[in-house]
Amino acid sequence: METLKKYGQANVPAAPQLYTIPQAPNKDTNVHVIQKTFRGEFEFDVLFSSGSAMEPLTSSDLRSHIDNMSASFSERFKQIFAPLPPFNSAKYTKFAKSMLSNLAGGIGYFHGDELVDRSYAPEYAEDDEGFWEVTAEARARASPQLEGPHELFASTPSRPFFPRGFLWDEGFHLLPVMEWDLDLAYVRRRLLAAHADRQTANHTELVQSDGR
Amino acid sequence: MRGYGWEEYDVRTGGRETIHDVGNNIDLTIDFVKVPGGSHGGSWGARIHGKPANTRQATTVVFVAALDGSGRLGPVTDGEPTGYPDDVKLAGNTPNLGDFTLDITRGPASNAHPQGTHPSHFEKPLDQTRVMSVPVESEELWMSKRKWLLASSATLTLQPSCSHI
Repeated sequence: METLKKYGQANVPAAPQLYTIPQAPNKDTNVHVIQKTFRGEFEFDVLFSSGSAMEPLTSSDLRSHIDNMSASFSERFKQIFAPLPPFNSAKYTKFAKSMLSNLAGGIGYFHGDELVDRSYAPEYAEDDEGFWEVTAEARARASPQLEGPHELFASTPSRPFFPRGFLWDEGFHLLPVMEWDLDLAYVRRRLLAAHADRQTANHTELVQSDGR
Repeated sequence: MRGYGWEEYDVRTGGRETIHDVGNNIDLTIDFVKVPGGSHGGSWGARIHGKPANTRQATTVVFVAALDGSGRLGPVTDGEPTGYPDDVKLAGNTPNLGDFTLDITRGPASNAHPQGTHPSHFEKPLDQTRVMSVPVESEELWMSKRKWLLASSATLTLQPSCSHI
């Protein structure tokens, strides 16, 4: 807006110039927004160097780390899953790697309060036609409370559509992960058990309130 | 969005993620590696590669570094009044991570930036990186994108009156 005011509608800067943040660094705040603008193809690095590591990470280190990582992933994949014909062709390997990688790469650690509606309104059963209207009314009446904090360490293989943890599905998520990394599967199973306990506790309360 | 996801990923070493962003006409590839060393969980690095469908297309990329909890995190220098001509370095310390630095590099010499003759170009040359620091309450960090978009709305002109540009 300021840029527009300054130069007027008759002399508007080009879009890449307008869509810029102000240069306002301050080491005493907790959020730092960093903006770069490119034309055409581009590349840059974000390097986190731990102070207690021997040496800080550089862009040239990063190149060799990336190459090693990719080579060892492919090697390990071939060893562990050893796909048999006809599923050993390039297209199946690509699909299988992608599936395993999204199971592992989609693991999220969740920690914090949950907003829980414990009204157990009968409308939530969604028994009638037009249930979404009565459900919406019931939801408007409810006064959900914050509970927790709780933690969850689980796969979210479809992050755009289901960005949350699962209970039932997680058993299946763990099957290929177990083959790949048993320790990882173990930690997840342990946290899953905690999640299951909580769900069971909630379910028990639900049954009790229904039976009252 | 024509899809995104990991092509390769191992929780212990890292992987490659691709994003096919049709709305912004760009394919992004992010190589991410974990590098063990030291006594605070090691280091990590990410290489962000963008390939727009149109080789002359302008693309803006925003990276947000936020500190959740106790400790500190901030740019090591204030750069130039117009921006940072070279890498941006942040330094920080938290109880779990100890001391650390975060570099956002300028990238290879093959990177190009929109040029211009408009006077505003000299106030904010686009071959420089800019840093805007904002304070955000811990509970609001997860929605800080909206917060900093609001904070920067003085210059991020999204009004329909500018739709002709």
